[in-house]
Amino acid sequence: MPTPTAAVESSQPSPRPTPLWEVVALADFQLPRALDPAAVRKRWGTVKQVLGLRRTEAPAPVRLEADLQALPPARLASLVPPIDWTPAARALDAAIGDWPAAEPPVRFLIGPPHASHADILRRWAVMHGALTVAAPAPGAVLAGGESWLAAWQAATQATGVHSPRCWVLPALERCYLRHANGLGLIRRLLWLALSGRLGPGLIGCDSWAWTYLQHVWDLPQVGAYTVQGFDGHRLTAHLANCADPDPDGRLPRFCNACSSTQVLPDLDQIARGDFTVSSQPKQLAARCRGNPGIARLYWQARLRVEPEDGRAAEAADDGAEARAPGDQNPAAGLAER
Amino acid sequence: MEEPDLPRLTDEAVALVLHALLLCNGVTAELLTKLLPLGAAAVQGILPRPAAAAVQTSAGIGAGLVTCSNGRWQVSALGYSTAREVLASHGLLSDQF
Repeated sequence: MPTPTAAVESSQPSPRPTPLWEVVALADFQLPRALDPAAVRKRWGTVKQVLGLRRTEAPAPVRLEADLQALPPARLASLVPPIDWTPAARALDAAIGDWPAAEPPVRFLIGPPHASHADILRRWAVMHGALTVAAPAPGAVLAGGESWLAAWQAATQATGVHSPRCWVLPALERCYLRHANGLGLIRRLLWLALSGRLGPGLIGCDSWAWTYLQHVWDLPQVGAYTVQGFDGHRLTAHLANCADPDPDGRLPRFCNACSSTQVLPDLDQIARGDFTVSSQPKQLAARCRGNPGIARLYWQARLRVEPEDGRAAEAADDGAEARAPGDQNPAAGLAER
Repeated sequence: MEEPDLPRLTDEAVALVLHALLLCNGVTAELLTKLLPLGAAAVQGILPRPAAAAVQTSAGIGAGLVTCSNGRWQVSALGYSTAREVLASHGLLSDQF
């Protein structure tokens, strides 16, 4: 485990009113910026020189990862529960504005693997009473999908052309299989959908399939959206908000396993949006390319707990405490005491 | 925690399998043989054996890089970054995320 550099923990407070979940036009997606550890150390060294501070050796780790214990499954589940995609579905509502009154009749939600674009759309469909269209079985795709498409068209016509019911196709990536017949199916499907013959609808698509289909055809960029990437700020707020608070309403303390510095701020700081983002969430966000689904699994895999070694009194005073990844490696270890 | 290792032999066939898994967001081993110019034996040799999750096959993908659920193989969340590197090293089409 790399030696912690506590100095880089103290970045600028970053009050920011941006919502946690934001759906943006595809072109506006931003990857979180990666921290350059060498540049950070150099900058800090310069600051210390200017201030006349003596260069000191990095502190020894407070705890070795090997000394920490895995969390019981129930405790782990309460600290890192599954992501609730409802806020993302609401953010989609905000992004699409007055659709379906406005053109184009079909909008797309694109998401990278493990970011659950299909779950977001399924949740949106439930919220709005929309028809959810399941992808055809692989055998049907390889056969060209005619019967699947015909059944869909028949269902659309049955709802009435004057008040067509919105539909949702959550996983376009399951409709082509990179096969000639599958591509033919997608071509017909998109022609029908974009011409409005299927009525207003939302299509979800994995980012890899979208890139491939974009490579084959010019897919519309207007009306294509994605969930904005989770940078360190968003990830900090998300990880803190989703963890079950203690009975007294306090967030368990998440600390760096090496340096013991606190990684997640208190809930009231989160609520005010006025908190310092430590380097670990920043690095985790960059490592996961802003993907909250993947970041959650990294975080979950890294949580560790302090062994019960006579620190009971301290634990009673401080409440639960968890430790954060090391500075150089966003997946270096967390602990809860 | 260690991230899944790069496959020992990052040959073209391994990259093609990973690419197909990502482009379709997961498929069965049987479907892979229909979508790729690879026979069933080659695909089986590349995918790890589900029953031996910790064992990396000599010619294929290390377990942890991919997962299998109900027969459907998918690049795992914790293996995604590594898989992306493999595909980029082969110059294969990657997403913008």
